[in-house]
Amino acid sequence: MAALLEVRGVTKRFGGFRALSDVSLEVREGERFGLIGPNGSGKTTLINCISGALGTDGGTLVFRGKDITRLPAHQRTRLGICRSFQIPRPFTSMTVLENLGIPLEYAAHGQVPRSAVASEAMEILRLMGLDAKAQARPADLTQIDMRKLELARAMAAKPKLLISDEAMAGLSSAEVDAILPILFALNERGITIIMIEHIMRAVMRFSQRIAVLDAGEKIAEGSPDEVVNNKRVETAYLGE
Amino acid sequence: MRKTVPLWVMLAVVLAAFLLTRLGGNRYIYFAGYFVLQYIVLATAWNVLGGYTGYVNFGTAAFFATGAYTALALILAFKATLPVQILAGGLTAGLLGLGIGYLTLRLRGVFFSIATLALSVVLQTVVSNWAYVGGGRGLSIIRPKAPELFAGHAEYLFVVMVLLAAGSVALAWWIENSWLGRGLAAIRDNEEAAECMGVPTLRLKLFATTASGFLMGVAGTPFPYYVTLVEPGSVFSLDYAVNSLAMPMIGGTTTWVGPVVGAILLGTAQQVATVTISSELNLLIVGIVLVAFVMLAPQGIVGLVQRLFHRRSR
Amino acid sequence: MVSLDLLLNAIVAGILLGGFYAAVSLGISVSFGLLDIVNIAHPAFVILGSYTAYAMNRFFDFDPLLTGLLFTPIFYALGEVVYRLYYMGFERKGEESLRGLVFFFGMLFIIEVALLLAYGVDYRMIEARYVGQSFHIGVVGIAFRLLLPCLVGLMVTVALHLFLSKTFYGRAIKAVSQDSQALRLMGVNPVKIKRIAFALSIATASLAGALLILIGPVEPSIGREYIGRVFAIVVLGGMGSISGTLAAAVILGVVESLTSTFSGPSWAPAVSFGILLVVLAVRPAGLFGR
Repeated sequence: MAALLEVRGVTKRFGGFRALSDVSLEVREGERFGLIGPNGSGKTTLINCISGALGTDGGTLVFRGKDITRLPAHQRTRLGICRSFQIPRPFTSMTVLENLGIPLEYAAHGQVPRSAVASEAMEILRLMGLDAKAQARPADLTQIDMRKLELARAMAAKPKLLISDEAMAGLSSAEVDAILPILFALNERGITIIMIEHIMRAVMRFSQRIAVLDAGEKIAEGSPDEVVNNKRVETAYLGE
Repeated sequence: MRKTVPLWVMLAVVLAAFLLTRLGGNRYIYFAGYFVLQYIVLATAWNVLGGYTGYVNFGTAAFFATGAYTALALILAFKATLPVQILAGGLTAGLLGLGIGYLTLRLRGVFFSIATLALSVVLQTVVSNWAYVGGGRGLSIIRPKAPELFAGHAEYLFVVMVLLAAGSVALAWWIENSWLGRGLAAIRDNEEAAECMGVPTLRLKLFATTASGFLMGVAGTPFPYYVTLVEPGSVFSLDYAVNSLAMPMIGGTTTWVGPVVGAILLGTAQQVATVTISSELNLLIVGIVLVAFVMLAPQGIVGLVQRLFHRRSR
Repeated sequence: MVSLDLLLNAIVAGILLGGFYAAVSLGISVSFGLLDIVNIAHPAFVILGSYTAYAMNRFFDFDPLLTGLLFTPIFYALGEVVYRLYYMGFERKGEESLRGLVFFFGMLFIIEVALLLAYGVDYRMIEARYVGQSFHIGVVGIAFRLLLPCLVGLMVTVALHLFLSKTFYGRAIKAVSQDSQALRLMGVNPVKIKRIAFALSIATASLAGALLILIGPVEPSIGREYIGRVFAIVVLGGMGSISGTLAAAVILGVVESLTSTFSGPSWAPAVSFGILLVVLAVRPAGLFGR
């Protein structure tokens, strides 16, 4: 499998605080990649740097062989990198269907003819189990439906790489079991997925490979079993 | 609605207005009508950036004045005709919008708003120091004769303003229903998410600022002919900023209907009030109504009506 | 060749003006810098303070500084009322701050027009014994009407700085912008802290207004010139930094004074706009920003 995304020596500072120090990793095409680490380890910062919400202070980002380090976020989305948000950020004045219309019209521009946007959106909603709520407003949705909408929107952007940022945070066990199959299904369609989660059983079940961050540094990378048995990882989570 | 329908509606409206002027009637109607129509353009223009995109412009006067003074300069230098003035005034104001947008739109919306307020003050200073257009004391111009089709200047400018108002509403309607409008709405609802969904937020915001500025400038271009005495105090009046903001906020910001409703209601009310009570008291009331609406009925009149129908249809 | 006398006088006048500008900007430094509330109506409250000083001077022959101090608690109460309105209408619902911006713009307008109705467009000034006097240090003339507001401005700035760094409520105010969750865990209600902070910002307007009318005559619309100045100062100084506000105010004062002396007084408002744009483009965090 070829490398889809290469993160090479990325550093990010906020004033005097080093959020990321020389982080390097590689995500292969079609892979299910997990990113874990204790709170404040820099996971979301790394995601923000990859998606373009934040600029880097050092290092390069290469996507499908192209250097995207200086590219603005919306162009990275057009290239195929898409992220869902930890706290759902729907477009509140639009219906659920219209919410999907935006990524279909903009991020997936050219891939979907204007007349097919609505039907394409419905197709995605059906996959997520949200088609009954197509005309609803985000304000009327339940928590779990909002999370599904986040993923649906990310999917509508026709990504090659989907970054799921704690899509299951705060959900019950049953709800987690409802979201996980959706992510597997997306991966089966050829979408490479980076999953950031605190819910260990979800990450362990889902990921083929996992990277672990702690205090802005990558401290481990490997299969779920390798990572779980890694001493440094244990220390990072449990302390000395 | 097919794309050509608005064009026919526009022409019909302008024709109707023209025929109205042939009927005669009290001159005052045309002056009052000009006032309201001017605000339809300004409110619609404000709303493209404020209501559709979510960026608040406090400096309407700056763009309005740019149109007015561009027209004035062209009159003085080339005795330019009105259509040329309108085009030039609009383009200049549009460029101003683009410039301000380029400088401030990468930052938080708040700084854009403050910049527009400061812009008005600065532009007023510049104009007051520019002797060519009369400096602080202003300049008087002599209007060339109105075209023969029209009974007089009041009727002529009235019909011109009807055309401009119809045109700006048509433009707003087009933007609202296009992919552009949907992108702007995404920016308004959640700019960060929009950027992540592939919306080129900076480019769209710059478009909105330019279009908004353009329309405001266009609204200002007939002003020299309308008042004949052009002096900075009246051209840069804070009334323009407050009204062009209050009218959409009271009428409703999400569609083109809101600014029109707001302009007609508030504009007419002010015309009545200025005659019956003092103009300052009238402005005070506008301010209070604005604050009330922004707190209690943020969706404006259009929003209230929509909610009423929504409840009935359930 | 520029006259050295003129240059020195312009610089000194600018520094003195800067001290005064700091007094006017303190309110915004707290409400915008620390609470992220864009109260563009603040200059209008300052003008309100000026007219209060004027009225008290005219009817009771009160010294404006005295009025400024006496009315501080009243302005504080006014600030509390305004904050409650703002909170009820916007912050509680979590609306974007831009509608709050329109709310304050409406306030600005209402205050300005109300003053216009009450006092008309004519300039109002006060007669105080010390206002017309000045003294000289070498070639530099120092007018009391500039010196006094500068000194009072400095005192208020220092007082506020001490309040924010040494007292419980002051530190709570600094903390509420960064971590209201932590405050809640400590048993402190963040909303109450914000209300106190905002009320404090309006309270400073009372004294600032009194200083303003000492410097020169006022009329209802001059508040608008100050919007640009005040935000330029707070942004240049760095959000949430009181000492930054003072430094920026002095810088702005000097640049304005030099521009005024050598290019003409009507260009002064352009200075603040220019500084604001440059800072936002080059170093948005300001000089001492967090």
